[in-house]
Amino acid sequence: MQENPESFVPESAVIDIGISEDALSLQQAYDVVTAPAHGAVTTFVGVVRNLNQGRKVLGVSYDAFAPLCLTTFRDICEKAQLKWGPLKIYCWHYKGRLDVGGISVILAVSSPHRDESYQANRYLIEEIKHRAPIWKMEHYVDGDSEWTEGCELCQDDHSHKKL
Amino acid sequence: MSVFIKINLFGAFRDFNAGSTIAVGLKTGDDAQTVKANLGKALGGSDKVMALLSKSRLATDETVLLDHDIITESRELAILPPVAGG
Repeated sequence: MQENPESFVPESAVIDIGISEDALSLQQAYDVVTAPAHGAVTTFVGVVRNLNQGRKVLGVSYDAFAPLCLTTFRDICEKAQLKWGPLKIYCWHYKGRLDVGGISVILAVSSPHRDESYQANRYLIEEIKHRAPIWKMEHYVDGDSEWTEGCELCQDDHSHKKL
Repeated sequence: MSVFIKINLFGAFRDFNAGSTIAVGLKTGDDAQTVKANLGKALGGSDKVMALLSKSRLATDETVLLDHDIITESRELAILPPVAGG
């Protein structure tokens, strides 16, 4: 019996976000976004590297303001879905100390075709770097530790209000 | 009337205080910029503190505040230095 293509329902959008003090899992990210109607899955994995601006790095400690972080992640993901359609998105960041090679962030995006997935994934990481309230302290081989310089947060474009 | 609000310190601000929070005085009509100035004094007012404050934003759990937002009640805020996620 021949199947009617009209009976295939498009995948619904998914947003899976979080801040974790446990190790992040690429398999978990893949499992969340994979779907029969989505022919493309892109992943971005942020990893602690062993050198920054000429200094040998042992590890990095990540600090995060979790409530605002989650609000920001959701806003970024929703904007990506508005721009590129009903994507399935996994967006988790690590909080705590990681050694070199440790995974700090995983972004996975699935879509019917590759172009939306690639573009949305790049958009997500750039927005997170500029907007998410996350900080990192690098720990160096010489025993020193320093907070890294980051991006100054823009003020929200909201009207004057009392809080 | 003056009350105190609790401000959560993140990133490099943690180096300027023994704990992760600090209490800052708030008067009726104070805006976020005034609260930031009071926070600077509470953290010792060094050039390093003031330089970092000038690049930082106050925030609630939901949003980053504008400098002229009026803080009208005693509530928890956070001070956010430049961010470096990813």
